[in-house]
Amino acid sequence: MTFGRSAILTWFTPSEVAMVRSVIIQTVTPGPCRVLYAQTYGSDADQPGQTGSLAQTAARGRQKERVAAVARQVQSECSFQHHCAAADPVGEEVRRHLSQEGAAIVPQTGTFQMPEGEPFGTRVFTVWQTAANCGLSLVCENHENRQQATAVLSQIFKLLKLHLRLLNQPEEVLQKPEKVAAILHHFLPQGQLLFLNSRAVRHKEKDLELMLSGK
Amino acid sequence: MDNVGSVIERARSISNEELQEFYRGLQEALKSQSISDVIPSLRQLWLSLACTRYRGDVPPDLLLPLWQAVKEPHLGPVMVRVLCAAVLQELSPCQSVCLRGGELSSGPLSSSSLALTLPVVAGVGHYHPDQQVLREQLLTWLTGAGQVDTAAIAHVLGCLWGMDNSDVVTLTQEQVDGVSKQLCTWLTTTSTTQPPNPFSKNIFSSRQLVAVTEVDETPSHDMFTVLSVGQYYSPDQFLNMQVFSMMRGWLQKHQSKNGESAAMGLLVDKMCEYCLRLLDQCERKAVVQLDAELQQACLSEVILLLDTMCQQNSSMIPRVFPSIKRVYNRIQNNPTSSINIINILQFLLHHSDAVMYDMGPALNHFFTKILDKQCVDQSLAFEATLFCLENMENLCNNTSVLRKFFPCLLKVFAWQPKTLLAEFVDLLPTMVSEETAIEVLHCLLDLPVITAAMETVMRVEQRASLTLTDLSPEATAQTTPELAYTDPLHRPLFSFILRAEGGLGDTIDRLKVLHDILQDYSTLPRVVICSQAAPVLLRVYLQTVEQEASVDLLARLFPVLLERSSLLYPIKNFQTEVKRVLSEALVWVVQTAPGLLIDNRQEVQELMSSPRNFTGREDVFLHLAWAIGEYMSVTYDRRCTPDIISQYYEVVECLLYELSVSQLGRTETPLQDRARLTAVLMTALAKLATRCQDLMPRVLLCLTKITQQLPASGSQDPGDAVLLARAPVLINLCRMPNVAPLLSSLPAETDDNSKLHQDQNSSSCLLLQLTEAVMKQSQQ
Repeated sequence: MTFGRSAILTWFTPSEVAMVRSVIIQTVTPGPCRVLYAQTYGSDADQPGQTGSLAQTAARGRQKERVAAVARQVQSECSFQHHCAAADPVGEEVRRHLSQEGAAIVPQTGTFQMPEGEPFGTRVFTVWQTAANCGLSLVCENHENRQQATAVLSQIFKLLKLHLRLLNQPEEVLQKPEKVAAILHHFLPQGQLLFLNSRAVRHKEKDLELMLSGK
Repeated sequence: MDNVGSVIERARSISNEELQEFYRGLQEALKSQSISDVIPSLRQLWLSLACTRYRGDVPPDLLLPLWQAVKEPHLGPVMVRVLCAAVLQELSPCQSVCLRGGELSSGPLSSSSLALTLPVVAGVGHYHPDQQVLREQLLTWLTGAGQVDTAAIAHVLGCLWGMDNSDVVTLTQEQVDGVSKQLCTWLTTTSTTQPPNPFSKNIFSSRQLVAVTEVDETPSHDMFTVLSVGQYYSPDQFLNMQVFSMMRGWLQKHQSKNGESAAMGLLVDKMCEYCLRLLDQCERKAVVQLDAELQQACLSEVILLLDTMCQQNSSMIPRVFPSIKRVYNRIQNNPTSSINIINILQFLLHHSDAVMYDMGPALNHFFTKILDKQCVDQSLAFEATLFCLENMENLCNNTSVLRKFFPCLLKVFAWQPKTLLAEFVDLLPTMVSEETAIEVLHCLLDLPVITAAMETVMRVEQRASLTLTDLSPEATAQTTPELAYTDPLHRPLFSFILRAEGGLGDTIDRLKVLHDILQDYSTLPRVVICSQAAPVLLRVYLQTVEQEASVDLLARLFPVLLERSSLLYPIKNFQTEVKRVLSEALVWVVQTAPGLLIDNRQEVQELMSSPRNFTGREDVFLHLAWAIGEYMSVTYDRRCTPDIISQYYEVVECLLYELSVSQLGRTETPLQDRARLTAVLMTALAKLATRCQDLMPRVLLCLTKITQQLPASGSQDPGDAVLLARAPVLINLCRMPNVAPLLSSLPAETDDNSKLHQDQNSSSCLLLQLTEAVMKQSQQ
């Protein structure tokens, strides 16, 4: 019989909610971790009943802290992968051959979990993707479909790279936030992961282009 | 130069006065100019809010024009409205943007207006002052006919579901039924023809109605799903995709509470039909790669959906089960579907009992054929770990997979020691049982070796996938581990350390050889991180064993702890940390079963009597010596004869002489540690001597010699002073043969007696205990 039955009992039954909690764009190279854009969905009832403006400022502060905590972990995971890749010359060659983006920018991806209460009220997972000094991540409730989250993440990252000079000038995200908002508006409407086939994606991309061109 | 940093710092450094000035300026500008003329200022406003935590005090008068622009499409170009919405969302949750639900309906209700206003409203969340009114308004739009168009419905549904899902609004049962009825309609009545090109200005083009196709381009004859392909999509088709995307969450939240209602029953029934149709569509060969990926994601969503529905309503299981089994048979050997195998296993774990299906083979197949082969795949590793964690109880009670395939799971950890540490801290105890404990211990001690071996295999495989000319010069030369892996002599070592299944043997004789082979990789980042994480898991393991192990297991554990303390992968910090953990473990093992020192006396004495074992294992020696002094007594084990005590005395005394007289460990061991060890050895000798009167003269002689030795060595070490003080105490103690045994062995039942010797304030307590003991003896 297995030991550690007490461990089983303390394991919390996962929440039944499936949703995206946050989308974050950030810098990833070593140094201060800068959040360039963050959008939070849903609402945390961490202190329900309090409606004063102080409580709201505090709630906004907590949101920012959560985002910063996720961003730091993405930065750290990314740096770990970067070190591993740098210590593996053969693998580097293989990835260079496979990657179409050229030698300098080999994108990195990953998933990690954050336990209940740290920093979100429930257990969440984060899927992230980085290239050059820019990282994009989706924080989702534990029951969200991870494959779909990863697919949507790549889709959004692709569009960000297309419409903003994300890799060379990540500060553009700070200067033109409406472009990011427009992309999210189409591909993560109100924080919902959509199952879109290739043609539906194309249709939405055209909608987006129309919006960006101001028509 | 870090441009991002300077942009952010500049925005943060704006003082409060400057900010208020900026607000006033923008407010004035908005009165005289159109909103599209102040775009740079709006962007500036967004930035100043986004990069600070506590700037929420934007004047409401400034926000009102922004809200107007978001709401009224004619007030400005769409991108300006998007920017205004972004500013308002950046502020949320904040009361000043809380606009009442009623206000929403007063304006024009175009989808263009709702598309931007509703996300802002949803962002206010729990702080919305009038959630009731808002909820009613959203529901009226959703369930009432014709008030808003289908494109707008999508936004309304997204808003309502978002707020319902995060419990901002609570829906009554009737409201849930109402929405469920609508969802059912939108799922099943979607048009199956392709709309004309909405981006074309030529309204006469393509008037012919063409049916949507399947992903393999054959015309579709069945209901519309997310896998139906058309050139363009109509709003109702997009709504269908959205409804499918939210369905699992909706059913999870509402099916159990509303299971009895007709509307929910119908929705579940239709959804099941939709899922089964999707399963068929997933079998088609997609022409576009993106669609092939979507098929996998859909497959996973469908399995999860069916699982959810079956959990709420077990009568569905017989209808669904054959399809799941068919999917399993189709994908079980397809490496791109590995994650879906996990989803199917999850389904089987929940429902196989209901249909009397034995899922053992499927579990075995997964661990040996899938996870073992693909454990360097990040997402699969993550899914597998979560699967084990979330089903820990079920897997432990009804299967033995965690205990059987722990080597495979530990490989998963060894590859991602940074990302999965917390998960494995929770998971590890379930792998340990009386039978597996020793093997798990060996695996944990070799975790960095496993990582290094996996690095080797990966490199050899990668090299095989390239031709030599592809490689840069520094990557051309094969490393020692790579060469060893391809050598038939060493290959079995790799096969053993990378095995998937436990139970073949705890460890191997040639482990040292493997360590040597892989030494070159001990500085790889992944190996180093794993070597830092391994002691954490080792502690978890020992805690588990400490709580539950039998004496029999401890007896098997003890020699392994002794042996492995000298057989560790050569990473300095790893060795130090592991040895510390192991020596602490040695002490509690002896504490729990003191007889082990008698059973294993030959090994212990051999170990301690050979000076070459000493270097690098000072901690082990120290803890062992303390345990010998403390527990070699008839109080703990009746078999502890004076003979055995003398043998141990002999060994400890020898070690003490070696340490103080000869150069043993003089260069490697810090002075302080030597003094500490000397003190422990001296005390151990005194304790042993008090239990065997024949040894008294020897110990007096020995302690006196050591004392004389100390000043002669002429060291400036403060440790020597401690020893000089300690020796006379021990000598005096030994001169009182009646009292000494009582003083030197504390009663076993004393709470926390292992710490009393460290307690500087305990002499009075000791004295009292002593007096009491003496009184008792004299009374008898």
